[in-house]
Amino acid sequence: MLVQQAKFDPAVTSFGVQETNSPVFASLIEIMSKERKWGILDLGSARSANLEMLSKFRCRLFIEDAHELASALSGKAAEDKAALVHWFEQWAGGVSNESIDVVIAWDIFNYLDTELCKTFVELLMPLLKPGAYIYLSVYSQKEMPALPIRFTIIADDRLEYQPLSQATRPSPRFNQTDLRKRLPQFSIVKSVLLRNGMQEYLFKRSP
Amino acid sequence: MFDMNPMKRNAGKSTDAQEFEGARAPVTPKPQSYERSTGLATIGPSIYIKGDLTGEEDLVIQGHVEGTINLKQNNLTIGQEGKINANVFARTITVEGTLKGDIIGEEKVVIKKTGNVNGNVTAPRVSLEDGARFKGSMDMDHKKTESTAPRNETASVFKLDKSSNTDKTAVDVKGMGALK
Repeated sequence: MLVQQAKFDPAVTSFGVQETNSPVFASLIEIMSKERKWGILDLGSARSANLEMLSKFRCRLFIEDAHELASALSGKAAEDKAALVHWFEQWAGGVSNESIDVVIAWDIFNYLDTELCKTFVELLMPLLKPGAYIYLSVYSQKEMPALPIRFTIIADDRLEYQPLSQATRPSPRFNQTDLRKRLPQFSIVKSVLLRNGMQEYLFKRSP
Repeated sequence: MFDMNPMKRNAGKSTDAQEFEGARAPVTPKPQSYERSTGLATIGPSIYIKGDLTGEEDLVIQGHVEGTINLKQNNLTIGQEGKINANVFARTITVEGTLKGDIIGEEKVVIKKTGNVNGNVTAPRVSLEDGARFKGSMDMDHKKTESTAPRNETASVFKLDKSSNTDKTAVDVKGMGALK
């Protein structure tokens, strides 16, 4: 997998630490009632602010940082699939079927090729409740950070993006058709292209 | 009589570890005076406990514990040197060291930036400092917490692993005289 070690220049790449509106994430928060209990899978780093925000809800929060997975990918199909399955089995063994209502995938889908996406979704499906939501962001620029970035929830409708390294790589630039193919059991609830070039999506699992 | 003020002043501060180091200095080991000066029962870094650990007072663990820990209504701090491989129940639980196992906090669980937790946390309130390492789940539902407390309240205080270094243990165990 090609990773361009270009010099990091926030002015060019727009991948510096930045705070931005997040209307799709805000929609997800609106959907989440405070009455019922939610099963939430956060595929980002464990962050104090994120925990504080999500703890507003009665929830069981699973935190499984996908940086570990993304770092282990080599670009070789068989090895990457094995790495994905190993990473998944490490944490999913203790998760009951149909226990997750919301997957906060942040930008991890950008780092999975078509086959890995397919495998990931296949592994994930049994854990998801009917009607479960997936929140994700894709890069529309030609370049993206070499590894998934750190997202911090500033407010219901605001996120902070923080790249963990200056390296970049080509972005897959997924469009809606690409994502529909990767998530065939889901429909798009909302999608917004942000001014920074990221496009947010909220998918819902079909009943 | 316990002087509780030093305990309040020192709660959650790293100075506990420094004071402990002084208490177990080879020349003048005075674990009893350590206990009086802080009011906190402490399991030192050289202690290895395998079995069920129960108590009715606040506890700081800098050593190794494998099994279960049940402090009922009291506070547990796993210090930076603490290495726990156990399911843990206490009123509030603060993790500065390493813990592998499930955690049930009746009121609150705090994972400090030096903490490394691999397990499932159940508590009405959970806080995590940036920099902490966490893998597992956090169940923030107080209704469930009330019904999941360990029932093993009659277990012995602790069972020392016979294979552990008893010479080292003997010194530090005196310092735990407040444990019940």
